[in-house]
Amino acid sequence: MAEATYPATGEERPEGAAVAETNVEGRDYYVRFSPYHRLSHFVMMTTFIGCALTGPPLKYSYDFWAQAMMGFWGGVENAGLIHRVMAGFMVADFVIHVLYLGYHIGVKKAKIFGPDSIFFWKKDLTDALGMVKWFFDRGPRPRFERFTFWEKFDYWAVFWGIAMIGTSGFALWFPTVTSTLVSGIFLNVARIIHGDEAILAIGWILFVHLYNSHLRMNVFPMDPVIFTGRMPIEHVKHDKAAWYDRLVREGKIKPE
Amino acid sequence: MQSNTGEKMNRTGVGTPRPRRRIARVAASASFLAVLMLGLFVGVASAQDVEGCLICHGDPNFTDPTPAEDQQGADLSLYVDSEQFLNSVHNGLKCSDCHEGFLLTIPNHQLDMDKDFRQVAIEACEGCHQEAFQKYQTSDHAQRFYEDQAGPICISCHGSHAIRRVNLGEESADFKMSMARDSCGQCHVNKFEQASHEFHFKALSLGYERAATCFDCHGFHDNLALTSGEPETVEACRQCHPGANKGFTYFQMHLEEGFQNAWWGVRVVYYFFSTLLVVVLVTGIAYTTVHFQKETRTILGVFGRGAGRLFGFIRHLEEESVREREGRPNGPEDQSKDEPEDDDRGML
Repeated sequence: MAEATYPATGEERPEGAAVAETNVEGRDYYVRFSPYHRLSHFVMMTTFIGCALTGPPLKYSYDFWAQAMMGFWGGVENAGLIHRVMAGFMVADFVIHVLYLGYHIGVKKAKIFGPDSIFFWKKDLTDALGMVKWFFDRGPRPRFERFTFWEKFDYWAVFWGIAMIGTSGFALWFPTVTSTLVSGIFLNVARIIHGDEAILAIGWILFVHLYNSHLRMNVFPMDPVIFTGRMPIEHVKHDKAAWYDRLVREGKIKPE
Repeated sequence: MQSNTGEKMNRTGVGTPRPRRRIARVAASASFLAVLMLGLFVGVASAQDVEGCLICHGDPNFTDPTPAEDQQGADLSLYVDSEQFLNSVHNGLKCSDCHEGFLLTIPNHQLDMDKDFRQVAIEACEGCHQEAFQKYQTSDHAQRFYEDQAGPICISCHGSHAIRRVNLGEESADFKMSMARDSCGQCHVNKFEQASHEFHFKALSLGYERAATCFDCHGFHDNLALTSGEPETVEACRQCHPGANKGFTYFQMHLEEGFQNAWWGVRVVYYFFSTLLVVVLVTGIAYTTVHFQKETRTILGVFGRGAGRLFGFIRHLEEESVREREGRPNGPEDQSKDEPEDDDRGML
């Protein structure tokens, strides 16, 4: 049904190549993220920012900036409402994603360990070691597959974060329900976990995720792939060489 | 105000027959006139000072003119800040409405010197605030006061001349927080410090007036020490958390910052997550930093050897600035030899 040609050149392309490639402003792109992936990340990002801007003023309430920030939100009650609404959407996004994952593994029988999978496999370990070697000029930059190990780490960190921050957050949101299930001392425990993990998440996003995804010299000043879904083919070739080779081998993109 | 004077005060007592009564009478008239004259010059602040007490007590340097012999240290200040008093809830009352049983002489003194001034103070408040007084009698505070005078009395928490106007049930967050800090927290230093790490005080300090302060749980006047699992503690929690059960009261409001006084499970969680926070963030930031130095060196085209590899770019920048100073053109020709095979060069 679809025209089996490369939009950039009009040349024929093999079966299965479908919408893998698109042409914008004279550049060839590979569609890396589906609209669902983009929406899912967008919801996660906005709700995370919403929570990260409304939560810390309460944790650090005695600091000068906390008063101003709470004033900006219009008081503790409003900030709390925003925090809870954001958290609700975030958890919903997460639950939908777990269903998505279950559907792909359970129904579509997607391979759990493989080059297209988000699950860690042994190549990630060698890639990480190779990356450290490359940092100190002891070897070439590893030839990455579709998901690099830091991308996978950021992805799985969300699972840990939702489990820790989400659970403790709901425990604090409904304290009287919590105390019917466990002793009230677990509200103290939940407060510790919620705050510590939130600081960890915010610190990780600011210092590690933003750098690796946007500030690396390969993508500086920003990598729009997670919002547009499209990755320039030349970028694929340089940043994820093994994936590029595989895409060419599978006939999904035209070699440059 | 209260006075700690001893024997000396008797010389000012009334009705004591004295040989030179006429002179005394003249002196009294003269001082009465002086008081009248002074009164003309005292401003707005003393508009309500119908008894003229502030003529002397409005002077910030006014101290007890007849100090007790055993009094140590600085003179007892008898100054009353009239502005504070005018802003207080008691604005409109006469001084003698509270300071009952004081002789209207100069200087004024308490009639019954055997009575402790604190007892006098309690009775002064009792005159109007009988309900609060009755409740106070049942409190831990009163028990300690009547035992060995160690417990607080009305003025210990409320202050004396600057008692603020407040509508019960409509206290502002600022009022609640300042009562906790400036009244309860003056004696219960640790308890206040510990509670300030918990949600209620944090929200209060950000202006959320519905959050509980000390007296919302512990009550006021009939203050209670609350213990986890006790029925009165459940009642205290239920005022705001209607569904609170016995288990709910095992939430600890007064834990130290490092959780040293907490159940061991809390400490384990605290240590685990603090360690995790530090280890993960330090690892992540170290990784990013090492990545960053590699990229910086690649961009600048600098490659060193050994330990200098990590900071080669700093050397490069120094050399560059030296070259600039000496007016020589850039030329790091010799460095290109060390360059390793690198895909990324093409991306620059």
